Amino acid sequence: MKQLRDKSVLIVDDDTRMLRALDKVLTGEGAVVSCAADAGNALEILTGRKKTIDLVITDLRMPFLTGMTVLYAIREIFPALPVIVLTAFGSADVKAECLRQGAAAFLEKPLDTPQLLAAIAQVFASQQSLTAGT
Amino acid sequence: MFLALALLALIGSVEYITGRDFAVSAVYLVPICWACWAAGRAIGIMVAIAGAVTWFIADLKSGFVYPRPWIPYWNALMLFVLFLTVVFLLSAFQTARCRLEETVERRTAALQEEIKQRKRLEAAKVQAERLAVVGAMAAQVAHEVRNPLGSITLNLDLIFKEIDMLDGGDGHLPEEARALINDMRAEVRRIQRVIEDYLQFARLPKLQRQPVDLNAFLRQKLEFMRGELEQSNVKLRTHFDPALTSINADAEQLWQTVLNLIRNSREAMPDGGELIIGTWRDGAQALLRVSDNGKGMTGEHVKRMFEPFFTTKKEGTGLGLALVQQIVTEHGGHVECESASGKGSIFTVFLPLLEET
Repeated sequence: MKQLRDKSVLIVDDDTRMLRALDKVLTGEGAVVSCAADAGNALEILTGRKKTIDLVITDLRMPFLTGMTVLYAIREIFPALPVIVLTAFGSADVKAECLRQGAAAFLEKPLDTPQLLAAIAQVFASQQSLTAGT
Repeated sequence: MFLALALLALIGSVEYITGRDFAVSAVYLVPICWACWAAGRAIGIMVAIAGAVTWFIADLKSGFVYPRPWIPYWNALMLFVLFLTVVFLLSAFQTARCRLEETVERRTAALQEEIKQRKRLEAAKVQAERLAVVGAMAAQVAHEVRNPLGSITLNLDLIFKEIDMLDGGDGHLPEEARALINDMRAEVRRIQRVIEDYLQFARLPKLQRQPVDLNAFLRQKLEFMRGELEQSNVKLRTHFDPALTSINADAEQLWQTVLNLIRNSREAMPDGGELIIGTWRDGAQALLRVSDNGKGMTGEHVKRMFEPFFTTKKEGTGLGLALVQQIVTEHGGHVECESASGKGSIFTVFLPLLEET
């Protein structure tokens, strides 16, 4: 069963091979995937098609604007949109800051497909219970 | 004492021969002082009595006629008081000197202990700086390496799925291809483990210390590990000293040290064994002990085992125990290791207890 059927996911990563791999994995699970190679591009996509994005997965260290900027912007503009931070390395302080800024999950590369899908499922589940609660 | 008494007898004889002479009276002080100095106050007093008696006898025997008969008794008494005063003064001086020597010895020992402590702190500081460099480099390398590892991992998963759809028709089974992919996955995990070891130093944030009940904390954390340990045939035994009070620690970092010690013990017992983790109280210190009955180490290895990059394992980075020492030192404690080749190892972490109010 395709776990992400009809879900729209935006992936932000400056590493094009990582972007392509994530795209394939998530598309394989039925998601509609948009890719952005930098934070500026991600924000353009977000502001242009905000209704269709259900989840953002962003890298942290990128040229010009970092993933943290994406996180700040989403928190301001789309506070309900869940963001998963997926980074190659984050210290405990960075992790704490991301979670404080509203990141739904903080994941570190490399992670395999089951780990990624489990984290996404958990984010959607907690969001659903939040929506049900309100 | 007998020598002093013999000397007194000699002086008494001289006085008897030379007649009543004050110059000789003063010489009585020589054996008295000597006995007092060498054998203590009690012997000094005894020799002083003997001195006064000798003088008295010599005085009577010398045949000198006093204007009054009680004068020699009075003189002997006065001389005895003089001897006694000298004995007391001398022993008081000696006591003061002993006390001074003791103080000097005590202070010297304290100073040596402080020098040792400072040397230990200095070494810990140098090591901490060295490890901080390792951490900074690791953070940089990790970013460069884990990105490609991330895409390799996901791509391996994608290929794994694709295999069923590929039918080359040349008789190769998909299982063979899957086995190859699993080998590659294992290698990726190995690279990942090496990076993780180095990253431990980059991850260490500042200590967030708070009172920790070591017994309750370990009991809870270890319970989750029991099953995993049993799977690798490692029997876990625990001991929690009820007398142990709280310590001021960063619980997460402390758990990291315990995990590293457990990992070290497990690697020393590849075919399984017994792992004992326990707490004890020793005065104002908490002792956390992790012992195994694994391969153990030689004395030379024990000496070097906390050095960064020192390892006896084929695939080790030599950073796990260096991290243990780093964290424990930051907590104001220290770690010791005893090991016997073929018998096992005992690691003891000493941490200061929180002062009870």
